[in-house]
Amino acid sequence: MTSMLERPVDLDGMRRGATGDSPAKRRLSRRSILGGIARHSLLIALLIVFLAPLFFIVTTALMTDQQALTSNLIPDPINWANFAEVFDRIPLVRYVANTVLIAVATTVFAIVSSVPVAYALATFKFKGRRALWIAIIAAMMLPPQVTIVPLYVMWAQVGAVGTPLPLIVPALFGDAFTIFLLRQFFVSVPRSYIDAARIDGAGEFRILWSVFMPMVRPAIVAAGLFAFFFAWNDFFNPLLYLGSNQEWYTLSIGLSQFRSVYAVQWNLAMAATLLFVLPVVVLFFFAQKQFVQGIALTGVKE
Amino acid sequence: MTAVASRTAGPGATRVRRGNPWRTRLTILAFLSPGIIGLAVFFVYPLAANLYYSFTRYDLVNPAQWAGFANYQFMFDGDRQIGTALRNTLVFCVVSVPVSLAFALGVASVLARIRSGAGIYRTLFYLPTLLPPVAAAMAFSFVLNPGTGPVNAILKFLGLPQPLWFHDPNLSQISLLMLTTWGVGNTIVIFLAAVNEVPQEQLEAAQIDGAGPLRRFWSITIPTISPVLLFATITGVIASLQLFSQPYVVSTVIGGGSGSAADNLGYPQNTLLFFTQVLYQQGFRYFNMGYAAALSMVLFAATLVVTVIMIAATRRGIHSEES
Repeated sequence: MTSMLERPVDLDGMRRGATGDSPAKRRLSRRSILGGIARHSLLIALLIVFLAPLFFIVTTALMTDQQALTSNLIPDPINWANFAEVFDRIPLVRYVANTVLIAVATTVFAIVSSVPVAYALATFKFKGRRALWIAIIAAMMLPPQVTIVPLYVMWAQVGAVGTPLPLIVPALFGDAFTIFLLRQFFVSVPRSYIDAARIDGAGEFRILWSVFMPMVRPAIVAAGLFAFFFAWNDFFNPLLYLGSNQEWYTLSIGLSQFRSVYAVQWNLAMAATLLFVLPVVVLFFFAQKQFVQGIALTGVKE
Repeated sequence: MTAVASRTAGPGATRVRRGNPWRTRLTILAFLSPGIIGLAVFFVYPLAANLYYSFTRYDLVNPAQWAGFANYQFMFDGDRQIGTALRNTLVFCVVSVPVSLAFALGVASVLARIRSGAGIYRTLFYLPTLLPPVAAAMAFSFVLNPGTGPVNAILKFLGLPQPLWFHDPNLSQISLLMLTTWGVGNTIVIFLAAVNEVPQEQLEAAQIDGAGPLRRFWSITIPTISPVLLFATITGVIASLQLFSQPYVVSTVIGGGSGSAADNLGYPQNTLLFFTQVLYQQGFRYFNMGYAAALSMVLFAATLVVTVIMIAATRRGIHSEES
């Protein structure tokens, strides 16, 4: 699991660890061992602070009502019933179903519509390519609130406010971030395969489907994960478009309303939070490598 | 930003084979069509329409009425909320971006220098980033809850003062800063990838010449990763300008049990009132769509200015580096 994340060869460490023959070098390597200990201690101290909130979410989710009101940090007894109670208190199954449906549809649509665009941007030379690329980056960078008034008016006029359509349909027309990410992956694919297929007389659709797609499967998985997480985590758009219709509430909206319905039951609130987070964490652990590559690509210069 | 925007061609982008040029053009157009339609309908049109709406009075029921600069005038003269929100947003932006970038860069450069276990550390530092913003805000509302939260329980055990965190108008923004900095995992991963690209030979040469670790970091690492640093700064600034979910959830969850969630926006004492929340409230609670459009024009202008300044700064930075 973690070995996937490790850099393949730790050249850095090998160089520093090499036994030198001069005393100066030996002194350097002794210092580097001490430095290593210092670095590990620093990181572990930071991690304890960093991971403490996660620990508290888990422990509180397992506490009884009464214990959650005390300042006791370790659950005693462990109260698994909180998770079942969350299902009784809020329509969690419906929220999960809505969220899964919206996130899966968005992901599939965004990938299907963005792959050809990213492929064309990475492979063809054409007039206006630079302008299109800048427009895509601009669309990705601008806050969604900048275009929200006209979009809301648009969806209200077709009677789609209160349905998940405003959350799903735009993904059918290419998602700016997905296009950006895929294109960053695609430009690193060796061009010779495509050229060879062209010389053999294959059409562009055929090349994309049978030559290119099998080569870029990891990129598609990474971009798909990002699209899924964006949709799963999104709060602003569901709040806006579903706000009037509880039928279609997602987990974000359901969770954000937890307190207003059930005063101070933090144990239930934390149990619900855990249930919301769990699928994302599980997915992440299965696809860490793709994930990390995707993130690194969004910030690394070409 | 420039690094991303300026290189439009892939390394080996080839001109499509000759043959029927019209067919080729149509093929390219077919490939691009979802993106072009999407940009036109969900980006270019709304941007233009937003400008128009910002000069109107529009409540979604009655047709939009031309109002000239009334919305903008109200923003500067009449709206008492927006001044507070603007100040909160800018202060938070100016503090939170350097803090989170410095933290991420610090962790990344320490991570880049350890020999084993970097992958495990990176995974663990990334873990909080996996929490959806709403979940993270819920978690922090609880963890920093003055009465029953574990942080104050620990402080009490240690005999330290127990602050009111989100409930204290003087500490609410600092509490929010802790919450947003908690989700800094993406930036750590980006910086780690960049720091690992710094040529080892240069660092060793500098070390032999007697440069200390700080000097090496400042004179070699920082200039090498500056494009990534600037990209992260731009996206960080933009992200903090559009911050919405976390303050919304914190305010409404801890603000007290009122029926309408929007009533508690900004709790406590409007210290967590941010620009996008005023926009949301005006547009989608009070249905002052024209005024909300004017507010989003301001957000648009701010984003544009930030991006242009940063790009100009990058250009000059990279230029002087080359010469």
